[in-house]
Amino acid sequence: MSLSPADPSAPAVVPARQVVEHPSPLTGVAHGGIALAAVVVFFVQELGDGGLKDLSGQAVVFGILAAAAVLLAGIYGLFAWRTTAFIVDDAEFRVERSFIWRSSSKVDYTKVQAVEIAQPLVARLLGLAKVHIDVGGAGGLNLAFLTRTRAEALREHLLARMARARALPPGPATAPGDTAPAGTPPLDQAEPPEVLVHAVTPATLLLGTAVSSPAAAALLVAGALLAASIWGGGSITSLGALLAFGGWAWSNVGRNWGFRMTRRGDTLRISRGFGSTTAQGLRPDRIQGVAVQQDLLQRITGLYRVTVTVLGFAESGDESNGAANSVVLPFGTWADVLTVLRAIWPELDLTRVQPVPQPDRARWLTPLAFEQHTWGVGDDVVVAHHGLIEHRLTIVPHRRMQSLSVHQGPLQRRLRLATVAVHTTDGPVSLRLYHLDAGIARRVFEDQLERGRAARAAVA
Amino acid sequence: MTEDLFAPPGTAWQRLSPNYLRMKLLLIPLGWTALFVGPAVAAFLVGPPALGWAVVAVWAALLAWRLIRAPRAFRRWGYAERDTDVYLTSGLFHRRLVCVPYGRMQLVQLQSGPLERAFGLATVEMITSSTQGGVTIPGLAQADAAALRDRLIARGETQQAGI
Repeated sequence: MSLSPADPSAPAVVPARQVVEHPSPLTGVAHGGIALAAVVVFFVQELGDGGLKDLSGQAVVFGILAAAAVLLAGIYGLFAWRTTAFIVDDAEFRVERSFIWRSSSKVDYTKVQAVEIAQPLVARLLGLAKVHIDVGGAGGLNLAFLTRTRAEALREHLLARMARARALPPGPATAPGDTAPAGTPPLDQAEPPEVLVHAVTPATLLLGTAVSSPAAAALLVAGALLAASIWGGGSITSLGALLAFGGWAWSNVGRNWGFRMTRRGDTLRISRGFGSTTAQGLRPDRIQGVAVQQDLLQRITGLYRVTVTVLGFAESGDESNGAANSVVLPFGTWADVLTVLRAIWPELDLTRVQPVPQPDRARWLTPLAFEQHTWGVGDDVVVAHHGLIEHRLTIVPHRRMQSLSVHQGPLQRRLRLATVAVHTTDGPVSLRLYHLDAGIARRVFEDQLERGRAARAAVA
Repeated sequence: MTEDLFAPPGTAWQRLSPNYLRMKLLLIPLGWTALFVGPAVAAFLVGPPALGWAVVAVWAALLAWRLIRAPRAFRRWGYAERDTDVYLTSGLFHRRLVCVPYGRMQLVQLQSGPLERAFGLATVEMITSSTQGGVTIPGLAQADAAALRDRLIARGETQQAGI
């Protein structure tokens, strides 16, 4: 039908004849083989555990199930081979699938971030490889399986074409190129001296950990357990409760012990940890958004936490865990927050961002947090503040905005209110301007689009 | 007032294929019936007949409500291609308007399932590096969808903007 590769749907610039390629005919064998390997591994493990006592009886059932799994995987692979087609030439890269669901994905060459070739064991035996094309934050494309040589040629072509596409317009894009080739130089070249930006003192860290909502919750649980055990008369459970609380506090303090942010040239570095120190490089030009949080109890101590959305953190999964990685200030006073913000965006001046409150009728929707909800637009950033239990200040630079939306639910419609959402790369930071006046919302929307456009043009 | 908020951006909204409404009018009864068959049978078997009829009544009411609203919901869909971005609006109950700059699109996909194919429809999906900001335009005629996809990609290449 009209989605088939032969369809003249491509733009006129494309040469008349396109070479339509398919994955390797051995794809079915590879899928079947991978399923077989998985089944064999499972079987051997069960055998080793002594899980299969009555071998003769279970082995038959198991054998039938295994054969069915392998057969299904093989048939799937066969269909995948027959129904997948891809077109790679100078003008476009397109993948067409016409298994039950038809899909056709066309990749913008300028958006190719990285091309990975993977070879599972069975595929390697058959001389096949799987290609994954990373196009940034959300999603990507998989092609399985190609011959090893074709996969490598494809990667070469995509990377070369990507480099050319990037080089054409004046001033190539700043951030994306860095993830692309394998031979990226390490983050710091060790030439400029390392300057301390901010260090979290043990006192601040202990205070921040002790006076916070999770600590209060943990204390409550531990207290309840303790009370229960005293009533019950057993001393072992009370010991367990204390251990649990101690463990939580230890992991929290230990992870951020000796938290230091330093600057060397353009790169910020964060090192933290008790015993084993974790160090990570952080390039300010890859930071997409910042959130400053303060929970209920932290309002007593006046401490804040700062987290960021960084492009590429999700991929570098080699460090402990992603959530901890996004923290650029575990606990600090407002002055510390400003120091960290200045290190990230030197040009940012929050005092010049005029906070705008919600219209009075938004009290119907946010009766308790009404005073907390404000938003503002600065020269370079959009800022939103909200939160009832946890106060949250969210900052996104105009040039990091991906897309923009306005939402209006039924209640908002009645009150003539609307919410504007500024989308950035996925991460802990998400920016919404809640409950604006409906008339103003559309103007904010259009103005923000224009600011984003101008900021992108200035960067390029 | 609200019409103002979701007004088209200079150019008129382009609408979806009328076949999309036909497909919806087929899918809505199927979906709601599938959802209610289990509870209805259970209610008739276990509870008093009144309970069973109550479930059937709820089913009928919901179905009628959805079917009545379907044409209006369909008419709320609209998209507009502009020089630097795409606008999309949708939703009757919960309304929204999204704008994606061409330079932010990472991948453009064209999809059509078996049922969509039967109605000659396809879906165009624009993927940015933010999952909340992607745009999906369903119910386009297949040829229109393919052409739209190619236009989007072509504009994306000339207006690339990093991330």
